[in-house]
Amino acid sequence: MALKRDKPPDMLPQALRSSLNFNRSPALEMAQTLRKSLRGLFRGQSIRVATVTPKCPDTLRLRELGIGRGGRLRLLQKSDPILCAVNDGPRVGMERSLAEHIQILLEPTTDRAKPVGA
Amino acid sequence: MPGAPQSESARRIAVAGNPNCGKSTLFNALTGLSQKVANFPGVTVEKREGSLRNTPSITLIDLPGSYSLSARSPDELIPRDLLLGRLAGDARPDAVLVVADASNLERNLYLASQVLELRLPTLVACNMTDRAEASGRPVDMAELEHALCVPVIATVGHRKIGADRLIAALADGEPRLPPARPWCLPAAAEEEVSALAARLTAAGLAPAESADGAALLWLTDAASAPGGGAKLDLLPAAAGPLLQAALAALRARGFDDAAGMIIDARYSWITDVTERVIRPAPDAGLRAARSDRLDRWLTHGATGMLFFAAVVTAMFASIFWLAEPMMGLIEQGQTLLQGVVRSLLSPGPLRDLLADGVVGGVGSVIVFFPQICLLFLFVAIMEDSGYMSRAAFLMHKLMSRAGLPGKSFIPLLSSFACAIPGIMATRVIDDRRDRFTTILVAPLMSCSARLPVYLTVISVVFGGRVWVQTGVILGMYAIGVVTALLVARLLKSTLLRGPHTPFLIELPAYSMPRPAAVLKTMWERGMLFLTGAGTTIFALCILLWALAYFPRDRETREQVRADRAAALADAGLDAGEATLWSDDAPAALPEAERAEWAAQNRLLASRQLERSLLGRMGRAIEPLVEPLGFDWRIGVAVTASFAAREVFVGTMGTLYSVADAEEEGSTLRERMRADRWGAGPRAGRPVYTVACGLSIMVFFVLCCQCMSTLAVARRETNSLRWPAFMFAYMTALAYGGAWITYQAVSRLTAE
Repeated sequence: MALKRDKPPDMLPQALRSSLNFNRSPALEMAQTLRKSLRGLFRGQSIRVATVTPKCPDTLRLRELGIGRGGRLRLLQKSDPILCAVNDGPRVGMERSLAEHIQILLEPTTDRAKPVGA
Repeated sequence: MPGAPQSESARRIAVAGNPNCGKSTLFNALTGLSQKVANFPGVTVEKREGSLRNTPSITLIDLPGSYSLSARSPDELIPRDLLLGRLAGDARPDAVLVVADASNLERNLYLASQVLELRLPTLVACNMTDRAEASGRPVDMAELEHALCVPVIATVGHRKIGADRLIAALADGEPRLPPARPWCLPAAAEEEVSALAARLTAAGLAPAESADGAALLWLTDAASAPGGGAKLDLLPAAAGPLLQAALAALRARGFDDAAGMIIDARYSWITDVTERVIRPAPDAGLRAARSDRLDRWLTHGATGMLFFAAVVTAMFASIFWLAEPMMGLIEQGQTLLQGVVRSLLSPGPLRDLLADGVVGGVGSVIVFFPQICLLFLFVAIMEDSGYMSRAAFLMHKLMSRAGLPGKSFIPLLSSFACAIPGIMATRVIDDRRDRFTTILVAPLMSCSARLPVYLTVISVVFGGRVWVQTGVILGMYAIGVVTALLVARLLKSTLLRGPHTPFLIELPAYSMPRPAAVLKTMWERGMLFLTGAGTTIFALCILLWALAYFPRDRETREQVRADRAAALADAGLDAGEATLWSDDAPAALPEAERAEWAAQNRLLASRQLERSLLGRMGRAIEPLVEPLGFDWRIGVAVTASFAAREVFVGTMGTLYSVADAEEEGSTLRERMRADRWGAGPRAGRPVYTVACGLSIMVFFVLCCQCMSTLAVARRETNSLRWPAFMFAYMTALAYGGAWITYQAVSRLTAE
């Protein structure tokens, strides 16, 4: 219920109040749901890479494997390590801590990209 | 053909390509050599050379597979430095053959584009076109040739399709000088790259024609380091200030992410090319879905592990089930051969050397050939089907708990065949601490040389119970793996502490194992085992036989001679040398005398062995090995095995042949089963109890008994300290492990 309020309750500590976003516009909310880490997807989901974060410890190798801006990924296994198909071709496995550095844009699920086993 | 070298003169052509693109298979087809190939990345870790078939003046250089010319590990330095003419002791090649996997063209064109930018005469072999067609994504070769502006030849390496055409093209000097880079950066960035290229040429760091490619390559690396995966220390030191200045200039013009800009521009061109050259079939998506379904089960944490366990169990169970009849045949052949040698030659050292030293020693190792072949048949099927990398994927969590990177899996997996290629395969690991940790634990993986030891001891102690035998052998492999992980954890938190390297692995496409390739791999690795039996083990068996045969025990012989001469004289028979020392008593002797004759044979053999050099050595070390449940013979065989593990079985074969020469019909396993303690508190009890058997096997699991492994570890670590540490910790671990096993199991089983 508290999350529906326009501003944080006054009794909350300042640090917590500032961390809560009570001014989400629908457009901002949509942008935030579209651009997220690879970790939060479901199996079979197809996405496009928006960027690889600068703090990623293996940016170069990821980019060389085609996991750079605009690269197409399809999630095949979402446990740790995760497994995905890159540009409908090679399968690449990586640990979740690395996957968290891949920022993605969601794509509509196509016939091919239905959850595996659906 | 501008830039193409003349075919008459000697030429060197580098063969470059991504890992697992079939490069080594194609290299073998082009040269007729037999490099190891497998369907997982990282098989080739150093450059190899071979002459082009029918054209000895052309040398092909097989380079380690790499995703790009950026270097993060020692093996990745080789292609980059060779193509830029910066590899010490190696001239720049005259041309390049780029092998690109047609079924994965987009990623393969990344490396191809970098090679083309170095502007050496180039030819592209578009390999695995059968796989591309099977996946519904065939490649239009003419269009690809048009896009790359260099000749492109379609090949299927493992079936040698296109190999003749490729040989002819290379011999005729068809590799063509590529045109200038077909893609471009924003104009301001291009200006900075051109300026850097000019400075690199002026500083003598790159040839003028390759300067643009070198500038882009080193800029990408410098911009990605530190933290992004590249290594500044792998860049030429003199280029550092020039690169930093160029990066600063790019940043000043608004290009903060130079590496990203270059890679994105390159991929943009690659995407454009692949969209033009790949003609997807209408059902391409359905075909990919089949592979997805397989991966859903085989890489899943629960079902994947169950499948892996089932595969491994089936593999070891079949080693006992399927190989037993063939082993029986080899054992019969060995016994027959020993009988033939004994019947053809008169008694004496030569007969004993051939029957006991050569046939007895080497034969007892060769008997495991069917089992070794079966093991490698399974491994070859797993490799060729693409399953091996899935196993690496599944094992990641286990590896990471030990502090090992994912890249350690393939070297450790290779060590199950032999630690030497396993240790060499650690070159794919970029972090020094991770690499050294993997080298130090690789010999704990149960290599094929340990298999004959396990199989001998298991069949002596647990004979006839296949499931128990399978469980015990799986247990031995598990002890090796678990100990390796624990030791790695310990090393990574003490001596080799360092940051975590993230796990990132490419899984090859599934493919139906090719019977010819699988059988060839099995045969080649089986023959390596036989070659070992025919060289090292043969020599050591002869040496051990000599140590067990000399000095001759004259005292007992004289005593036996007198007794036999008297018995023969009583029976009115001739007492010639041949009769005196024959294995069987003359039929004319009374039954009691015949029994005495056999007892004298046993006495001669056992006294001889006890008083021989080997016997004295064995007695000397007996107090040291007795707490492990070993008698002096096991102690001698274990000591001899420090040269090479397989020697254990050969030594036992020689020792038991010398000791029980009159028991011609019995096999080594039967003789070991019948062996009893001769003296002390255990006198009359079997030597090979469950506790003793497990103790021997645990000792072999944990001990570093391989001189070649230590020599390779010395070469790879460039230090004597690490192999010495490896030898010391593993020997201590083996002794401690065997002692605990023997003491615990003998108390539990009341043996």
